[in-house]
Amino acid sequence: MVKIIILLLGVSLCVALFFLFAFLWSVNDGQYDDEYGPPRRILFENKKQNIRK
Amino acid sequence: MFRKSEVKPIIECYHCGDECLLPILFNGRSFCCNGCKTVFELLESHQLCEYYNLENHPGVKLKEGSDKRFLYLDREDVRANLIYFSDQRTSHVRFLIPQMHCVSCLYLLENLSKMNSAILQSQVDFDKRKVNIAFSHDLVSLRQIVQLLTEIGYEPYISYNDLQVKEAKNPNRKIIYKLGVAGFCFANIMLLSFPEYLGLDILKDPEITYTFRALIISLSLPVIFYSASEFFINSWIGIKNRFINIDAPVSIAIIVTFLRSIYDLLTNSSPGFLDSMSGIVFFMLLGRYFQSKTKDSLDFNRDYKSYFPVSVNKLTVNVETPLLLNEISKNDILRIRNLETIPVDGILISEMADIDYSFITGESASCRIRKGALLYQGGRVLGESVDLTAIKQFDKNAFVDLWNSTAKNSKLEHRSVIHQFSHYFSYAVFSIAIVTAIYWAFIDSKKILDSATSVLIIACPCLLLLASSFTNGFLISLFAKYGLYFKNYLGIERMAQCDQIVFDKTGTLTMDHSMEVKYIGIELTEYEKSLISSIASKSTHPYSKSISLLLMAQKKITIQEVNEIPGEGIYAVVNNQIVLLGSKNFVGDTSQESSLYASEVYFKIDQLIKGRFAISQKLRNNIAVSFKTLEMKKVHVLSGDKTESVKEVLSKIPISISYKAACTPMDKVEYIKELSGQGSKVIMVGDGLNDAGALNWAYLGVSVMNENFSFSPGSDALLEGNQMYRIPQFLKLARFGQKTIKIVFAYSFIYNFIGLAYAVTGHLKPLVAAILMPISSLSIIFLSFFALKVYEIKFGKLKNVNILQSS
Repeated sequence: MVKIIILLLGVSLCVALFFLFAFLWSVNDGQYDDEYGPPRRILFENKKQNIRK
Repeated sequence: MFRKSEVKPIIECYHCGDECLLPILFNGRSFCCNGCKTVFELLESHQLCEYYNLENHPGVKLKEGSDKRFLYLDREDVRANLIYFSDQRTSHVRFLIPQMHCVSCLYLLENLSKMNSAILQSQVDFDKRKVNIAFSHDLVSLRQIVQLLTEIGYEPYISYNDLQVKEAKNPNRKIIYKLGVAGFCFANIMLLSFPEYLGLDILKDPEITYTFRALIISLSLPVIFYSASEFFINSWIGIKNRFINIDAPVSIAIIVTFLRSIYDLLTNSSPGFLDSMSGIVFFMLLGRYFQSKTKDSLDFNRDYKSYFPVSVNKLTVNVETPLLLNEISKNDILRIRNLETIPVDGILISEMADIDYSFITGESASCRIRKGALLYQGGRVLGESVDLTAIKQFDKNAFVDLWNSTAKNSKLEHRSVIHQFSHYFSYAVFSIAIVTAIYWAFIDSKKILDSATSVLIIACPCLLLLASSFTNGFLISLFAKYGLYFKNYLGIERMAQCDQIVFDKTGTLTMDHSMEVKYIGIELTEYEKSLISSIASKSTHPYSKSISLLLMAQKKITIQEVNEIPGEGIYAVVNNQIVLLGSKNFVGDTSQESSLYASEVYFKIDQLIKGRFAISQKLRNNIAVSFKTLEMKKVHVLSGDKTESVKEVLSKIPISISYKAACTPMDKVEYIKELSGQGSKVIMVGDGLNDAGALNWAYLGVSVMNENFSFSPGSDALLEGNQMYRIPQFLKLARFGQKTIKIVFAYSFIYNFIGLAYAVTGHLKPLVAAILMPISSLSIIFLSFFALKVYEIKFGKLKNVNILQSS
């Protein structure tokens, strides 16, 4: 019975760790470099563009 | 005073928002000039009018210049350095475009593909003012892309350094990673600590308690070894240099807390203080991060190379080949066009030249040079283009020597007052700890370790660090909001300590390219006004434009013959009358009175000199009114211009100002050195190369950024030109900022005392620390935020004041 809480603790820490890594990855990927552009860019009305990387 | 009915409604240009003195109508909209109208037409034809819907008057005024200046972009070596990625069909290039300022700019720059289908994609990084463009290099050339950008008003800024070295990408993200880790660990440790505070008993639930404690200890390891590492490193560097900075007591507090907590946890005597420790590390890192945020897109370290264009065109048998500056050799024939900068000393080949040396010497009047005379590096050509023979290479000119001679070994690393304060603080804390230990040694020796370490834990200068770093962070962004950008927070402290201020005149107190024109003489008829306007429109000289604007004549008169002589004037024949517009000499005026104005353009029609246009520089907006509130011991103005010019400009500012005219750049440096030698701390405000030395030697150097994003010398702070009138307010804000830090310090002492009361008596429980820490940290942050916010509301009231221009 008592061990359940330890299991739950372990799981919740894992979930939290996942989010920590997601945060660190997104910073590394450069998603926070420009804070001005992304929120405004999604509001532009544009016909679908043919984007080739 | 103006009555509403007397003021004509101002027509604003649909594109750029400037006042249309002679509106050009197109498609039902008004434009201030042909340039703006052309851009509108271009955007409309590509269905990009959303540009005008997203923001009012988003347009950027087109800069004058010929296309030939982009010839160097066709060169292989230049392309190789600018293009950062290339495969078979596409290439990627990144440009810095400082003109972007709003959401419309973002929209337009990301829709370049609509203007030229060979451009595949363009993405903007707005904070850095950069745009990444992917294009098919077989269908469009780099030069054509730059020309396209220039046509819509967004000419990229390509500097000398961009062409030499491939851009090294190295963003400083370390502190954000540390913050993330510290925040994660802090939150989880807090979560795991509370059960023990609130009744988890080790005897009843040993398994749970041990598990929780193990987790707490493991979570605290990344905090102390990774996140807090910079405090240890900084304090070690300080000690190696025989200086105790504020990181030293902070490091001690962290280490003591950690060791004490481990000991307590292992000996079962208390739940440990690891939650408070990780919390305070998190908040201090947050403060540090916040304090170090400065504007990404500004460069505070510009050297003289940034002043010059990257290439100049060499003439070989009437064909122009682009040369990079370091490729110029002796005897090359170079062609420099209107408003371009002379890259090397040379001998004039053309008949005449009109050169503006104001950026170098500060003289606002241009120089007339005849064929065969010397032209100096750094001057700007006015009017017709000029051919010259280079006599030196780029790096070997007097200009460069001047620059190097006025440079100083980097300013003594200014130590913030906070570090000095930390000395006293450290001694105080250690004394209290020792006294406490001695006290308990006599009373109850069991409590020595407990109380002594508690003192070191709770009397943390961490709160002081928090107070100063958050206040500095808020100050930096507050200043930036109103147009003053600091290289780092130390500049704000220096600004608050200054007691004298020195201004340059040309381009700093006066507007760079705007001129005030007054007509003195016999009144002109409407015909004569149209006549002068039509003649002036044939000339590219900046004075001509100002004169046309003053006259606002409607009719255009056809001119039979017109001949512009650079540096002298314009000779025209209209309706069989000979008309001369030009200097006093040119029209043959022999009167001896000396001119009060920077320049005068005389008007002579058929032997009669009817009058003259007196051209003086326009003072920046609102300075006359706002400088009355300038709180400085003394105000000085230094200028390379002649005394009459300086006096004329100073007469418009109603405060007492000491001035020195005809200053060479070395004179300015000497002046600053003399003031500093008398014990003053001086702020220097300047914009030109002739100020670069003075900016280096002043206690605080403020460089003025002009509207057209041209070069500003490197300095501690950059000021937007049109915010010059806010200088008195900025000074007050800097001083208030220092006061705020002191107030918040004092406030943080409350927590230190409460905590110390617990610590000295040996009663510091982890629960108490865990509660005090977040409360004190958050309240300090809010206190500094609100102090500045309240100040801004009072200070911001001046933002919208409509000050009527006198005269």
